[in-house]
Amino acid sequence: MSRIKSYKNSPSPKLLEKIGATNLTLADAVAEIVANSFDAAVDGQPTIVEVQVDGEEVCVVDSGAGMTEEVLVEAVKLGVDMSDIVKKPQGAKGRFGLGMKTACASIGRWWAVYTRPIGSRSEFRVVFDLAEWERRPDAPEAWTIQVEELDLPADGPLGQREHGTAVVVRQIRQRDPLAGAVLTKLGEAFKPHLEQMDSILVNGDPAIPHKYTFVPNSRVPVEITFGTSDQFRIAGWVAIDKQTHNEGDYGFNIYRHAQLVQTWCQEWFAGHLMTSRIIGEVHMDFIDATFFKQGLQQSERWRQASAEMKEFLKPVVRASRELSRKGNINSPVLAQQIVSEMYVGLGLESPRSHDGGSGGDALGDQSSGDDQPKRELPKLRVDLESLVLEDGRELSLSLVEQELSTGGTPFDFLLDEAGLALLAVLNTSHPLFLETKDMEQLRILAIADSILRFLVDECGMSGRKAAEIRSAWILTRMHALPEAVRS
Amino acid sequence: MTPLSDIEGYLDLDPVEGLQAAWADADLPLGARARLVSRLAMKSRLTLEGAARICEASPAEVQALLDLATLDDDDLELVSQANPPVTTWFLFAGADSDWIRAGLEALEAVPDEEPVLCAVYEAMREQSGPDLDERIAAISGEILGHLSHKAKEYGKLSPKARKFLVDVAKRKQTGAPLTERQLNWLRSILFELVESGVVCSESPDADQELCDQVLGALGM
Repeated sequence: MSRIKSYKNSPSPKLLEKIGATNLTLADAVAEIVANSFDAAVDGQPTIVEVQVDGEEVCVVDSGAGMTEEVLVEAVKLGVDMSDIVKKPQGAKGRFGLGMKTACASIGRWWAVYTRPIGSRSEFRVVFDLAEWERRPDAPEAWTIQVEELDLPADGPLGQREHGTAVVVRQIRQRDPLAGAVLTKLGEAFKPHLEQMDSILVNGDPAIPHKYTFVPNSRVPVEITFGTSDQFRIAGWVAIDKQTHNEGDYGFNIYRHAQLVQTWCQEWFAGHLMTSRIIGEVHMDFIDATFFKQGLQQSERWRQASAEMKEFLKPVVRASRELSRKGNINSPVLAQQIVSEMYVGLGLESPRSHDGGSGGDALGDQSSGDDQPKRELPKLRVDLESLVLEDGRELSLSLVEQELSTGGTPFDFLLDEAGLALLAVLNTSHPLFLETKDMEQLRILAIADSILRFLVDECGMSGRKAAEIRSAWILTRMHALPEAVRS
Repeated sequence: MTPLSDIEGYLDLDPVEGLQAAWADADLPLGARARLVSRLAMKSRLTLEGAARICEASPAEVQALLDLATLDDDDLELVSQANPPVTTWFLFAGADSDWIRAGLEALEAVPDEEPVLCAVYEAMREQSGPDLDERIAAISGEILGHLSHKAKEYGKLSPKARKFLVDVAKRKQTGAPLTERQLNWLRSILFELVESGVVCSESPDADQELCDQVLGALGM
């Protein structure tokens, strides 16, 4: 025999404190609150969000529609899907009913929400003090909140605004909150809003989306639909930056309903310095973001979207690589040719026909017929004498000229132990290479250096002995040089 | 190609630790190792020398593997299956699909314990044809003389550079080869002429054939 009994399942009030223990930075948390401001936009009116950040208080005030008392009560409950309570604009960012509470709890231990609903003469306020919440007993009543109704106080955080909402957080957890980081984050996170009519001010400074300097004509639209009846749409753009981004700020910013949910996604191509010129933005309203909008849920739709993007980006990735090959980025003609080839790969009209031939600072198509710039093999010298080792084995010697790093080693080597072959590498990015006029002697030095290091590091020979062998080899090579080079 | 999702364990690690572990993992196929090391090296934000130190490798070794990671998936898979010695990685990384196939065929034909670099290089060279310097060196004296004249009419190039073109044209008549420095200067002059519109694909000066020869030599 079985029986079923029901019990009330109410979370401990201490949960309110615990939800603040996230990895959100202050900037992320403020962005979460600002997202609610844009969800509360008044139709046809710009939303102005003013953020104040200092060591005592973080305050986010918006000119949105505000909330009625009933809506406010639901909005401050944990885990309430507000789309069940209030009609939100299409593409509302809030979804899980956790963002604002999580954000406030991560910023500080005391917060208040002030709101003036549009068309009302009242202001409503609700306060959360975590110290007081911690003292509450574990019982359903512990989650009772008090809403205070006020008569439009002019000295409150909403000031003279007719409608809007202010979130004020105190007892800040972070010792030195950085307004600059918040400003940068908001500029990135709400770029689509800022590029239209909305604005955000942080301590009086306007948030401005970052601007890039792209290779002329390299910015192309991304427009992909997939799924049954093409119900999923990816829209945005991708471009190739003139700079590489070793710092990691490249790839795609992904927006869901005009809010950034993923920064610099590099999942759709192999991340490398040569592909780090790829910069793009895509809007994927169909994907699910995590509740604090700091990542994407790895759903089937996301996997499909990733596959589509990988395929779409192949010509762009190729173009980024080609532009990063030696010198191409500095040649407007070659750069334009590579971009033209990218257009062909993407099935787009050539940039020349787009811009009437001006081509930015590039010069249009200079191709002699074969569209893709010809690849060049690395400069390799394989016609060098081999070195006979003490044990009678013969070490074959070769040299390649290759870009390594600017400030690093001028010479290096690779060793094929099976075939006993040594490939000296002459770093063409090194100042020694760039400044030297006699390349032939530099090549000899590169191989000599490799021989020395090979004998010491790989054969365990003493430095003195290895240097003797190296010097003898240099002399042999110098005699092999044409008279003109030696003199 | 081993998908990155199969080796996500490395990506979950701290990028520096992951880089160290991925580099040391001898069981990883070359292609997967290249992709993984490339991704972790970027994520770690280490310099080339820093990454080399972490991996206990030389900067050239790390750079060669990073360059391999820039190949298209299909090309990288081919190279990965053949698992060529490290001395050939720069060659494969800079090659297009046809050259890679030629290089891999040559690789197979070399007996064990023989150095393979030379064979791979020669096979690729055969496939790729003359390189940039060889193509430039093959431009005729007649074309160079014409370019000097045309540059003067267009008001491009310094008098010294225009004279150099004439000198090279004369030198060609004697059959003397250009030195490396002369070749470097000639290359930069030719690129300058293209970028300033003196040499172009739709020349209004009834010299299209000559222009096309120059553009072809420059790989355009």
